[in-house]
Amino acid sequence: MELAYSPDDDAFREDLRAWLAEHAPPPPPSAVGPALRARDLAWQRALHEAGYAGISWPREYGGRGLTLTRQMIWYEETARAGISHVNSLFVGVSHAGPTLIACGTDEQKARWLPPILRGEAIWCQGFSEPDAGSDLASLRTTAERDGDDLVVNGVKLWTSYAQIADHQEMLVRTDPDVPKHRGITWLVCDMHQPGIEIRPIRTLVRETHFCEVHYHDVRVPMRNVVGEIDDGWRVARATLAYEHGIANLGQQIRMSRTVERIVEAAQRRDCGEATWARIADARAEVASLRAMTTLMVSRIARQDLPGPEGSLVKLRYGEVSQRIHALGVDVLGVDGLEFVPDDQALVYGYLASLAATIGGGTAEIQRDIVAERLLGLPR
Amino acid sequence: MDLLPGPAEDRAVARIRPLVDAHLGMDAWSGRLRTGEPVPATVVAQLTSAACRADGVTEATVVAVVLGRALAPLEVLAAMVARGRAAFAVPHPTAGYTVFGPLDAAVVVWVGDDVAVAAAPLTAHSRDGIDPTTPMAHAVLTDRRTLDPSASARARSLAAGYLAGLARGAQDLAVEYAKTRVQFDRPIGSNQAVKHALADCATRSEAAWATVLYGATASAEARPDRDFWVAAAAGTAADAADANARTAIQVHGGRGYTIECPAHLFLARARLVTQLLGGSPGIRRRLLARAPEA
Repeated sequence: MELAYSPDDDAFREDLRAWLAEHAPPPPPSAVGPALRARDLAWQRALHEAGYAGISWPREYGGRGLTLTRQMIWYEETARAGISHVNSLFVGVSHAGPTLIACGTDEQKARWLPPILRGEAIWCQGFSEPDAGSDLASLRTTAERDGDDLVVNGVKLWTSYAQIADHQEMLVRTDPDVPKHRGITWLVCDMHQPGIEIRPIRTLVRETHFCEVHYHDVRVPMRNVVGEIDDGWRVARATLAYEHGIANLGQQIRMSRTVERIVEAAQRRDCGEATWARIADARAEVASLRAMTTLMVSRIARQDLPGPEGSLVKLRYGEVSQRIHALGVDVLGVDGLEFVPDDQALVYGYLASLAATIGGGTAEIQRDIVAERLLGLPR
Repeated sequence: MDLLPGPAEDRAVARIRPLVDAHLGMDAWSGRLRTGEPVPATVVAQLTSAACRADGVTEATVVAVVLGRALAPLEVLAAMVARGRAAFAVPHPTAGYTVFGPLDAAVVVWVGDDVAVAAAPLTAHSRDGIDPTTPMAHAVLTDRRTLDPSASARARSLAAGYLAGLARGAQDLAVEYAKTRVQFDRPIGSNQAVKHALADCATRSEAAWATVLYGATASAEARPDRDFWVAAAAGTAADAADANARTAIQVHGGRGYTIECPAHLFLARARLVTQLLGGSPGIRRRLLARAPEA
């Protein structure tokens, strides 16, 4: 058991920290549009040129082929540098990319992976639908074979950054006559083509990264199918664990910083004993998240694959995030009622934390996963 | 960087595991709770001797987790701190000290942030504890010798580890029952209300286990924020042990309210060990004393 990093890891951290101090990107514009796209792609390009893109991706696709520990250091240091993590790069770098690495053909990997790391393409996700949320496998967007193409019709929901994306990882129904988990296909849809209609949705933090996307006879070439036709559920599951755990490695650093900001706010405001008790508990809870993250990375280093334990981290993260931000706005008192359109602000964080038990699989679904796959309780 | 127990910790656990499996199963605890018989002195002596071979804070803490999970007598944990047969004690506002464990052995005394070892009490008045399996008494203690800060941190790490073990043990008990108890023609564990309560137990257990490993490792490496991390381990594990024991009682329904179901024993032990750490106020004071390294 050791917390100390190897000298090489420490050197990597120091170099990265120094580089970030010089090259941190400007804060993202609040509107989702060309300016945000340009800012995010420029940031990814800078990371790539400096050798800080795709830390744990294989070298043959432009990655660095380094350990998950290095990847964790990367998440930690970007969080320490105060760099906003929720951006349009997330799906490509942390979801579609890893899925392609796990399930794509050599041709598909060569076609799509390097542009993600070089900051040349933005990806979005088309999984949920109006009638397929937690019950994702009941999705109804269809794709019918026509020559060398699939023709897609339907509606996707909660697609972040569809307005500025080039590609979409998508789950579609290719066989309606078999049990719902079969008959699903994972494909890549080009977002720059006729028949795609994007309707942004305003969230409760007043921004519009979410979209509803409509597809009218949208053509997707067969060579964009990842995995086999009708085998998309397996492809999607290959990276679910990523979304539940690894993709949020920097969160514990951000939350630890948030708690220390709450400590400072409380010191200025002469808070009572009950508030300080909550602050003490908040420190312990964030510490436990850091420990769980470190333990998860240690496990993956030995076993090579994230397991259902990722759901434990995600569950804990959602709850702790909401408790800490609620504490933060309580400490602010009446100032906690004032909306601040800045994702670093406590009030914004409080509202945004409400998504932490919904997005990427609700807390209820995570509890089902833990109960059935980790504890072995009957379905 | 590797938080998982390594060969040294695995060896320490392997030394105690056969004894735990042979004598501290949940059925054995049900029998003891029914009859009032204690764990045989020879078994306690064997457990103590095996546990005390784990010296370093990481090995000892991982052993403490195993002990807590199996509800091992607290005097085994006390012996790991005192490095010899011992009881635990905390100050009592009017009666000197409250002692938990044997009255003819050294006493590990928890006062504020200090841990000390005192001589066996000269006089003691037996009390009835909420934990029917741990002797409790009011006593006057003398010859108190305070441990150095790193030994005190080790003691708190062991207590936190025992609490994390209790959390996991209570979870195991509840999960097992939920799989086998049938109502409405199906195991009760197939209902979401029960499933989700148990998933929350698993989340708390994992948080406690991870934080305990972190605290023990921070102690072993003498990190400047060692005391913060051990306090975080204690707070996380105390919360997990208490909540999981209450869930275990609830999941067992009427059986959970009987003396022979070990669920209440997890609850009483959780409260007892949390008191050793100064209760919630003591743990919170240490959490507020300093922030962790950024």
